[in-house]
Amino acid sequence: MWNVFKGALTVLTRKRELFVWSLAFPIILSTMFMFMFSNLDSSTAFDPVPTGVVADAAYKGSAFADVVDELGASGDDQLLAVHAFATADEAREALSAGDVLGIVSVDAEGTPLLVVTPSSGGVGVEQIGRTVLGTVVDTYVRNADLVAGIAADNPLALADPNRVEEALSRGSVTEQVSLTHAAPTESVRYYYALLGMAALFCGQVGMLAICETQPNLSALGARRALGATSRGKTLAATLAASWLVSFACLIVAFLYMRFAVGIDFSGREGLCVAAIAAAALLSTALGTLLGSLPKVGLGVKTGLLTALTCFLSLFAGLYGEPCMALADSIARSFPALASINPAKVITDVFYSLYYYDSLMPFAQKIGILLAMAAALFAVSALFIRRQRYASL
Amino acid sequence: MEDIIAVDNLVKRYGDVIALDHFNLHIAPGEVFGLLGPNGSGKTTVINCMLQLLTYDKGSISLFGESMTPVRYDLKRRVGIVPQNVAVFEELTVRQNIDYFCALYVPDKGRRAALVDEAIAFVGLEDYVRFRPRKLSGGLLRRLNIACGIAHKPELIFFDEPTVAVDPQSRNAILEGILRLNAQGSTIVYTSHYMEEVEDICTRIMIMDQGRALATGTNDELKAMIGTGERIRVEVDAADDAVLRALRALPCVAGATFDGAVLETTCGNGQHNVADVLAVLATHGVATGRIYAEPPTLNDVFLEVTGKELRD
Repeated sequence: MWNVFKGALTVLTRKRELFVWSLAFPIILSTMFMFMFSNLDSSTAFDPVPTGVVADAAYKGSAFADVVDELGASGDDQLLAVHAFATADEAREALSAGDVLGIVSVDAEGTPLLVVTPSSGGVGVEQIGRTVLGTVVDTYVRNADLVAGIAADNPLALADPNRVEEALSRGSVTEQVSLTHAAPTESVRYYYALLGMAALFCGQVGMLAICETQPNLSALGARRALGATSRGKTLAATLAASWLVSFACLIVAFLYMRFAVGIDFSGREGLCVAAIAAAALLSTALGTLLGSLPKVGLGVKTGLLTALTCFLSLFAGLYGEPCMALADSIARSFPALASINPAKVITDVFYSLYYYDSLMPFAQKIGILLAMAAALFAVSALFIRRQRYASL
Repeated sequence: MEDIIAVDNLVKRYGDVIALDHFNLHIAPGEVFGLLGPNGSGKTTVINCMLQLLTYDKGSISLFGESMTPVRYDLKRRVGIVPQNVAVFEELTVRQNIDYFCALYVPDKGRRAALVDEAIAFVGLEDYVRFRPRKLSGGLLRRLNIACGIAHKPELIFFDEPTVAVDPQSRNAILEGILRLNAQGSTIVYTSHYMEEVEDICTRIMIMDQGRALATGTNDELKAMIGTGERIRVEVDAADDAVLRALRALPCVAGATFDGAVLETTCGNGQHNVADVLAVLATHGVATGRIYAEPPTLNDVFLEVTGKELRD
């Protein structure tokens, strides 16, 4: 059995045509996705608010300047993109030109002043930026008044830094909780759907392997059937080799997505490997079924697999936002239908890992995948179990 | 000695077509047995039935004295098959292909390595062990096909038309190889529609047509079954009716014709046919040119048994 497995593995790894769809396709498409979706994610990301500062003597000597410097410091939490101007006129020109969303300056008493462009209506990035600037200045003014009041009423209280910090903080009236395992990013769903499509394309591996074991499908199959190795062992070894090749192709695609494209799998890469193993099993089962169909040529079988993969991937949402909306709509309205679409189920396996804290949805999807694989193998067995044939 | 193959009363139908019609075959160990018949006569079908690849409607099949079934892997291990169509992996090298098929019979890697080397040497593919099949010529491919079938040193080997579409040089090499295998102890079943090959290498021959065994015997026995003996062709300038009548009157002559240049006489089995014919020609003063005396062929046998040419 080991010899048959080794032989089948060698044969499959040398069939270059297999790797076009099973390996090259997901890598090429995920590279294309990387460029296509780069704007999709950045459109929902927050950019620092371009802010003009009149950096005169009053500003430089104020405490507000320290606050602005801190908020404008580079880093993940940078709030402001500070542009310093020597005079108020220069700052106003930049505001008029749209280079900055607002100008802050400090008067002789050290009170910050904010000038923003008039609102153009609607809620956009500029409107949010203006709100941010307003909040920054308002908070500073309010806190400065508060500290001044404490200094006047109870100067000793300022000696306790904890009490000052408590007074200046907004207080924990709300608690931030996450409903999802990771911060949702729209584009990851397309990559997961791509993995689903790649898994179905990997069905070619099992399909070709089975065709070459069946006496009624190829001369090679007939020759192998005449050997002194049992049919069960030959099939088991061939299917194991097919699964391994499919698994390897999907793993390479997964690693490329994870490390070259930088797709977020929410830190659950180990479980993703388990998901890929289940997806490879399903693709082997699908290929086995198609490969074992009697009286159907290899070209027709390849066409069937390609058409089936493209069709099912449509309902996994691979082909763009409208398709994703369609896939979501079907999943909501006809959950059973979505559950029998292997492309959708494989997509959802990865998404359930990404989205949910609980592993229950993941386990359910894996269960569905394994059940589908078992059903496909069972139907295939009706065709491939025969020892003898009425005709060849 | 017990038959190595015993097929009795085998019937195989493809729908309404009878592929094997109460077919019987008994082959003793050490034979080179030829199954001779035109395409579609049932040669490959009977092999596939014997090896349990095809179902059959009736009859019994025994190999090595034991009833053959699809799961008799112990018996299959003693059998080699060289199929009509070259059946090897395009993705494997010559050596890997032979090793793969040998492994279907011999799991032990150490033992197999020596067998593979031996098979490669046997078919003369030493210079091509790293080649993939697509790089091999038709003759070399056939040799690879043979090596894949014989590497495990089977006691019984089926060669199903192994020389189809092979050049004469490779054909001779293949036939010599088969005889060497037989000399080493293997029993050979050789199917072909080339009567010359079967005549050359087979110790016993069965003529098949339409799924039936028409005649079985050695080459000489088969030829002795028919009335035709020698065919004597003489180049002459002229031969009138009197000459033809005199020839036909000879007891050994079955027929005589003249086409204007060659006088052809068909004789029965006789000891002095050529001398008798030439004596008649001398009596009638016929000047003779070149003389050809051809013994009967298996095609003559097939023609007489079936009423049609083997090459049809």
